[in-house]
Amino acid sequence: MPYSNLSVFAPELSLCGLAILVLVADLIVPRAWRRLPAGLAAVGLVVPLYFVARLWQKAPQSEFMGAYAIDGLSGAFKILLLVTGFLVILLSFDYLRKLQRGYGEYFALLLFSLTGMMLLTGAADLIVIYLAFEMISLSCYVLTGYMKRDPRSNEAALKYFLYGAAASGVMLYGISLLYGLGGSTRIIDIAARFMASGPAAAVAVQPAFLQSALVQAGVPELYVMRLAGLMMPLAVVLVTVGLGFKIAMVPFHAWAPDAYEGAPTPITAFLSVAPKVAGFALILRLLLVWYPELMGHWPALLASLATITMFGGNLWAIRQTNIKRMLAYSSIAHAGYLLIGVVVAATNSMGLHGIIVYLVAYLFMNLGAFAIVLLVARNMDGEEISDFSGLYHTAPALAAVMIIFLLSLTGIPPTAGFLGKLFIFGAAIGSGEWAWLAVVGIINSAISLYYYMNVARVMYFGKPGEQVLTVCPAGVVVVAVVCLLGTLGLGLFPGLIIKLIQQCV
Amino acid sequence: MTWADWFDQLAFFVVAGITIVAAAGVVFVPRIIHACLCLLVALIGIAGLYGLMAAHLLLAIQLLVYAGGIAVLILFAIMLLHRRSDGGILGGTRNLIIGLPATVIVWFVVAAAVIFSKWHYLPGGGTVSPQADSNVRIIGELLLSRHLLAFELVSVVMLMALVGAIIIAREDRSTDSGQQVAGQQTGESGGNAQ
Repeated sequence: MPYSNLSVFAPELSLCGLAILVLVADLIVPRAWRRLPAGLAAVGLVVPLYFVARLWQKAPQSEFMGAYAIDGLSGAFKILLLVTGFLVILLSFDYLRKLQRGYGEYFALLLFSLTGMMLLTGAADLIVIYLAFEMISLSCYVLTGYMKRDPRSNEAALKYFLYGAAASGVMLYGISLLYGLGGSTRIIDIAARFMASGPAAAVAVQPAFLQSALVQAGVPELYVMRLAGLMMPLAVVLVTVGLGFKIAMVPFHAWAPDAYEGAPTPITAFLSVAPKVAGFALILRLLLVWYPELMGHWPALLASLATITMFGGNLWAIRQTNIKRMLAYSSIAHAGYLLIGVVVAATNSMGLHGIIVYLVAYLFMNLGAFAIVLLVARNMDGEEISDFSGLYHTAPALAAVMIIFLLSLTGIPPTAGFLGKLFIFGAAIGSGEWAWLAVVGIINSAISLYYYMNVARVMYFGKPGEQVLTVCPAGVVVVAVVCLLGTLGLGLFPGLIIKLIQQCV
Repeated sequence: MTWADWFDQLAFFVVAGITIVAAAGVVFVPRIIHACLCLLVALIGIAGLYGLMAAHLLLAIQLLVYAGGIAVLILFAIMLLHRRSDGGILGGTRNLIIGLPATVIVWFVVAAAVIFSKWHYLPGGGTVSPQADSNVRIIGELLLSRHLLAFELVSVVMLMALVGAIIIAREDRSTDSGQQVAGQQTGESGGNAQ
């Protein structure tokens, strides 16, 4: 029996080990030192990051008999996830100050969730994909409901859980159909099976178990073939529903605004970035392995979903008065822009690079915006847009930084958001076939300008409140500064990151 | 198709039908204790489907873990939680009139089955030969080779779910949003049980 080479699995192993270490450390250390495990969680992320970086330059390989892939693509996503995790842990220190119990478990769950996301980026087996999916979901449900005294947090967790359980069930149904048709749980084996039956049989496939079972049951072969031809798209659609839930794609987004509003703000920031990174990693892997044999119609399906996701997210965002809810809808819209990249990536590596550049930019600008929201909410004790009123007069620096994040989210140069949109829309135009998606994206960017700049208007022209900013937690300030540097650095010096991505992915 | 095939088909539709009806019952029955009993039937029905597919190991696991363990555990939880609100678990004499004869009949049938069965004693000390059910062997080998990663992952997911469930379920006496719940018992201190 071939033994697995665990050294290529070191990032996931070390991250999972770190989570368990934090859990145990929280039990051992006295209450006064409870920040120690939390600090350990933040500092310890260096270890998996080191392992990922070391593996990044190596040739692609697969482990666990083909169940897990290690390549440049998953490496890039893993680095994004670890950076997100680190920044979210920094955001959390101050927010949890009033928490009496479960301080260490919060960070352990966050790390477990990150482990699941990292596994999802490399998963090449349907069962592993499902388990990683559940690992992310279960920890996120608990983290969303962590503020047990806050009814909104409870409601958010319950809604997230109910929608999530339904989405998992639907996706599992799709997976079981794929297994029945493909005869294997490995995505590469399923693809090979369909390729063997020739390109002409892309629709009328040669199902393994199902076909023989139906023929034995006396069903005429013609009908069996037709049935199988129907089942394959059905399976792909069902899996798409599960994925669409994870990345909050319209029309599977209904949970997102409530969950984002009710969850603890650092977790909202986490939910708006990390599951999207992991979800897009999986979408890209499925696309690269399964296109066009199994997913010939997927780009067209995703193109229409991208369109309604962009319009839905942006139009609903206009009406929001709560800043967390507004950012929730804006993050839905950003999933729509990213989907353009996926549609193009089916035929063109420009789309692939565009998605990664966009996700890097999105990570910095979105987490940065949430850091500012946290700072304002800490001092004003509210998360409404009206709480930002007159911020320019009481805290000009803070208002200026927020403006930069908002401009970047809109996609205005010289910020990271502009670079991301340039890459995605550029790829769409370059592909020819999907150029109209770039037009839709640009129209949507214009719509988003309205509600992003509405916050800016309130900050600059609104009546300043009584309070001045008095408390500035160090962790949140560090995140804001890092995100500011990232947002501007990526916008002003794009060459470095682009070269790195083109080299490694 | 032979008669055996027809019987297989018939058995499938009967078992699948019972399972679906029971599963619908879980959702639509108004009383939670009845829903739980429906769940038990549905889980046993799924075990029957495994049996029809000759997956004997899965059948055994399904019966032991899901029907025998989880469903009964849920039943206990409901009985403990709904002592006051949900009426009594034991009804009046009406249930006794049907229940007592039914119990006696079932007891006699099982006892008769045990007594009158011809027990096959296995040669060689009574252990089952490895070929008796190669299902078990194949699944065992697959779990530790092809599906090793998934197998190990399940344990991590379990650990995480356990931690999460404890956090959600345990009583929280903290004041994380500054508000005190009325009627909170003052004798207990929230701090020492970190």
